[in-house]
Amino acid sequence: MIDGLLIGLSTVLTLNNLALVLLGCLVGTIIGMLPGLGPISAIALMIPITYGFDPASGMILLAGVYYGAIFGGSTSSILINAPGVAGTVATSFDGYPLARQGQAGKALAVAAYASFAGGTFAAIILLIAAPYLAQLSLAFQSADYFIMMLLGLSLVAAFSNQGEYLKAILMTFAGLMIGTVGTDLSAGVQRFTFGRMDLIDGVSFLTLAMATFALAEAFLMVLKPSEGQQERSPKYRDLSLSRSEVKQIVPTIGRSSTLGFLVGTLPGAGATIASFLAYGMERNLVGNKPVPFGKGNLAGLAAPEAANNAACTGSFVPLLTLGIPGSGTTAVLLGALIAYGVQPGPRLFLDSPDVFWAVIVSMYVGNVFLLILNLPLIPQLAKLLTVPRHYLIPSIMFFSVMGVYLVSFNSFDIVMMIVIAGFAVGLRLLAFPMAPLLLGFILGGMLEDNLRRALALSDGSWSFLWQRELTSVLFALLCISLAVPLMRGFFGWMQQRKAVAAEK
Amino acid sequence: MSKLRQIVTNQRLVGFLFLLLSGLYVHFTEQIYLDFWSEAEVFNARTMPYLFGYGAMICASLLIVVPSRPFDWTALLQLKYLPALCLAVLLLFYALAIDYLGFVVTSTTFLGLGFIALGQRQKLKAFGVALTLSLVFYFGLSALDIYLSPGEWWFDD
Repeated sequence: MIDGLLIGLSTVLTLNNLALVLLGCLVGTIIGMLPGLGPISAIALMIPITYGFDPASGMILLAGVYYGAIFGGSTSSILINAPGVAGTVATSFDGYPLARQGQAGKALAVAAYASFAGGTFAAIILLIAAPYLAQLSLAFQSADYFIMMLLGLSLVAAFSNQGEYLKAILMTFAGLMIGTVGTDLSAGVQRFTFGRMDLIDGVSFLTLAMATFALAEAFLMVLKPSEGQQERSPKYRDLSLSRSEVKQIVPTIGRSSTLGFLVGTLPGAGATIASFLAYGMERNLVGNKPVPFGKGNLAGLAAPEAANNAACTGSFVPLLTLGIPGSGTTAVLLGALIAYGVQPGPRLFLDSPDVFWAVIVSMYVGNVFLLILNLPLIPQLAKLLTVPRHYLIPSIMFFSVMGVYLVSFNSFDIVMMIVIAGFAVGLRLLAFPMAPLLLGFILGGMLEDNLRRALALSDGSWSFLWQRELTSVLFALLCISLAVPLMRGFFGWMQQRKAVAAEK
Repeated sequence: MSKLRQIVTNQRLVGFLFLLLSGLYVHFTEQIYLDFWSEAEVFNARTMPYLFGYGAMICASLLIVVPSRPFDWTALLQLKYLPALCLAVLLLFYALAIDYLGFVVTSTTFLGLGFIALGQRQKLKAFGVALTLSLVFYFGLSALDIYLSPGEWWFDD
């Protein structure tokens, strides 16, 4: 391993390759900030530029773009509540309220520190244990994925206030139902398209996320001008964290990085589930101290950020060691590697050790560069929120609409976005949460695919839930995760009844 | 009146709407086309929609039935609907016009009128900022090799 590390360091730490990491991070951050252009688009856009490079340099540049794009996505989530990619949705839950409270600089700084820590932790684990983790990730089957998706859905409790669990569940069902619109690829059948060509591909994640978050938020800022006003805190550019704040986020980052990395190594799971799981886990562990979750809790911001960056690194495990792309982004990277004439798989670190180790080392170097690059930029980015609201609101709307249009070039998507935003504004005014809707939408498709496969493998029997040890353990975790909020609600209700009886 | 406020709560209203919507969803699930061999399968294209639809119906019914806190409907009357409506119309204009008028013209019109709708008094300044922003995005995206149509209206073959 030491030899490999030295090969990686000698490849990456040349002036040329360091410049490429820096360029990758910069370009990735800028592209990632635009809704609709997430890491996949950013890498795809950069691949043609890398054709003239040697494979190691090409991969170093693309790894920089990947991390930059993830951080760029978090920036737009925090500043204008516009999560351009699914992996940064959970970041907006506490990041955006913090920015609204005049602490945009602090929110962006926590995101940067958490991303850095998550990425660094994951790069070190990848360095030590990549081949072993690859074997572990292969042990996961459809049944396990199905339970993991259910575990993700059970986290709706994390997005609801006390006594509002039912509202969150209803919104999750709404998301699951929206997710079924379009063509069922396994059966080749159209569902709920009403004969419209525009609906054959279903509702895209971006359309739904922009409509329910960014566009709905912009409309609410217009409808309630007093609440739409950002707090004019003189500290909006301040990046410093107090000792107690550091103490609060350090354990969160440790737990979320571990969880994120492990989830990231599973093919198909990726940064989105990792960020939601980490957010839910922290809400259950930390509770609402010192600020409630969803109202600007620093742990609520650090958890998804650390987890999604760690998961991004984790997704390289199956790619580099087995040649299996664990996510859409690593699938594009696999294509790039093959185009360079490198075949990823178990023999990669024997046949092309420079590429294998250079990618791993460049991940760490990329994280360092991202931190160095972004910390000075944060005060400038935070300034965005001081733009007068008559300029800011239409610009947010333009930004959201343009993001959706850039993906499909179909104006029907914009009309659909406006209609969904109308519903979302109505529901938010009636105090219904939107996050569970998006969670249901994201996980619905994967839930269906994995259940279909699991049932096919077990000849239509539901015994797959308890036949294997791994599935049984996950199933037990699911039961606990479902029971805890119910028990908590029941005991809260009992206490309330006792208090009322005592008053009488 | 207060009795009515206690009965018609936000929770019950949304619960009722979702009950109707999920009922319709289940109705349309029955119309999903299945091959004759798929109908007998344990899992087919209708399975998950049925589960989701019935799940939503149960949940919506529970929302209607369980006790809920009274909701302050008067707060909804104090919202600023006019500028929000203007922006919604402008967004619809954007959706309908972008293919015909092109990215720059549509974006400039949307942004300029949007700024004015939200209180920018200097019209020239509003359109100046709007045009600058549109051009920055147009040239920025063109530099990334992302094609943006200049508009069928101006460049019709």
